Amino acid sequence: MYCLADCNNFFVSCERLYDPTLNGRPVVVLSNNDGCVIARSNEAKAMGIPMGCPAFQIKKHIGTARLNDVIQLSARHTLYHDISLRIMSLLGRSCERLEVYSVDEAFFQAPFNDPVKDEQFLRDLVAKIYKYVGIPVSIGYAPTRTLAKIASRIAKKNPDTTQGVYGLTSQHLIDSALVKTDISDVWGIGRRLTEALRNRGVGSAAQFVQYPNSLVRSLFNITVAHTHAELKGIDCTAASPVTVAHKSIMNSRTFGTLITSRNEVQAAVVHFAEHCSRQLRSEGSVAGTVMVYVRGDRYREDVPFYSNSCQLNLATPSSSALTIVHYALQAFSCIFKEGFGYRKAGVMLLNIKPETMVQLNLFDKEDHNKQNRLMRAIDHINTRYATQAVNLASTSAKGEWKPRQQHLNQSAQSALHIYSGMVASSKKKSSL
Amino acid sequence: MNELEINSIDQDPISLQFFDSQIQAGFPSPAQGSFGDTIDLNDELISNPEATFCARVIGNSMIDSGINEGDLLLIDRSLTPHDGCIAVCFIDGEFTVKRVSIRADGIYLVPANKRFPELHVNSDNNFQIWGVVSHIIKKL
Repeated sequence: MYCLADCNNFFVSCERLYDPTLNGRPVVVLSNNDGCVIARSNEAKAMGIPMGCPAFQIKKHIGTARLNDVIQLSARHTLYHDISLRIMSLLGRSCERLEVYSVDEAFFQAPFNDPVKDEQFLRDLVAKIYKYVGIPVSIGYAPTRTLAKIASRIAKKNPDTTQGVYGLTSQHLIDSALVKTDISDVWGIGRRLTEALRNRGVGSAAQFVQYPNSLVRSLFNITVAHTHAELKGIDCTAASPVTVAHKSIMNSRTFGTLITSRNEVQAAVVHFAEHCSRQLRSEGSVAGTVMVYVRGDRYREDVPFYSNSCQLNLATPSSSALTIVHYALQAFSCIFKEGFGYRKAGVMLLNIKPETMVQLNLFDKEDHNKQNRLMRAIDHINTRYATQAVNLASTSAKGEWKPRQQHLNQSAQSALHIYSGMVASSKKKSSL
Repeated sequence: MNELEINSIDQDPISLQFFDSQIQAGFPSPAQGSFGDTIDLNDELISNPEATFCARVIGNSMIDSGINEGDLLLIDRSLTPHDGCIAVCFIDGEFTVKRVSIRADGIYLVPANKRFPELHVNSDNNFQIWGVVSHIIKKL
């Protein structure tokens, strides 16, 4: 079962956490420079303020008399990001295969494959997130992501009957949900597709499911065909362009010993991320998604077994080691648990495409040109002197994670004398 | 006016040298201790990073409990409020830090300063226990 956790009115909920006087009042959060409405409380939705509405047009929608009732707040993205990380980290530690889809949404797997147990688990999770972080979350679960998205929408729209958790656990439930779902509310069906489908008499998700496969394939692209199949309960994850790219880059290793120290596993993850990013740059590609996994030792009876993974989407696809490592560390901190032993860890880059195809993100704050120049300089030094002559400071822990290399050929280590040479000369200076 | 301003905590670990000998408020001799271990204050002070927030104290209603103006409070929202705990509460539009006293006739917010009155929380108050204080960090 796929689960989708979705934070209710996320930006407004974050503001309410730090200012409970906002509870129960109509609140909107405005984009940068107070341009448009990017989040609305339920009260603001009920007043008829549309999503994306320019701030100066709010009064047109609700009338000048009620304008003073609405609290308009400037967005504080750093705050929202921090709260988001807390929630994702709680999810990552409690669930398997977390995929952070956006700042306020994440997919993961239901743990039990048992409707009763899963539902209780998800209810406890919603309660835990509310207690720990103060943010109301809705969770939907269903056989496919597209259906899980519909389930989470039902959970969010009917808080009194669902208490924030709703599962499409039988064909009967799926059918009645599809009848009530407008085609425009189906994940992946945008405004143009909605129009095209309406023109062909398809107004609800149920009508879309009835539409013959062959027609869907001939009229629309593969993504729409996948959505069509997912609504029927056929999981298209493996083929979906959203999560799986044409190829991926992976770097992982089995450790020589079972590692328990957070710093050591983290250093390994940073090393793998750096290595992957170097490979990306050498091909002139960028990655859109970073996935990190950790795994214990199933055969050790003295240490409890733990294994998990987490993937994050980059704001803008990148090949910079700084960016890739940054995201890898975030993913890592979402899944690492103290008290377990780790035998293996790995980093995988997904959604890989040529550098030239990158579309810049309007909200991305990184200076990509500056990072590109830095990366070129580092790659140049490393090619010329030694693979690891320059690396990020966070890779250098004790090195327990490195493979056992008692029988290493000496010539393979020759690169190291750059290090020793530098140490020797600095010692000489200090003794003078 | 709010008595508290609540913030998040940057989770990057910073390792500090840990002086591993019992210090009895005398003159510790560095030679007795074993150096080498490091300590990360985030690790030491924060057991639930997802649920931990931090706030700086304004005002002196809690001085008899050792909480002074300018001190930093660590708030662990994962802790369940209990009778006698010190908590950050939200009451009628303001954040405040007080000792929570659960009595037969309801919840009281008890200051630790004789110049301030106890407050009996009733149904007219817009009231919420925001989080339990787990640590106080103060500058000497």
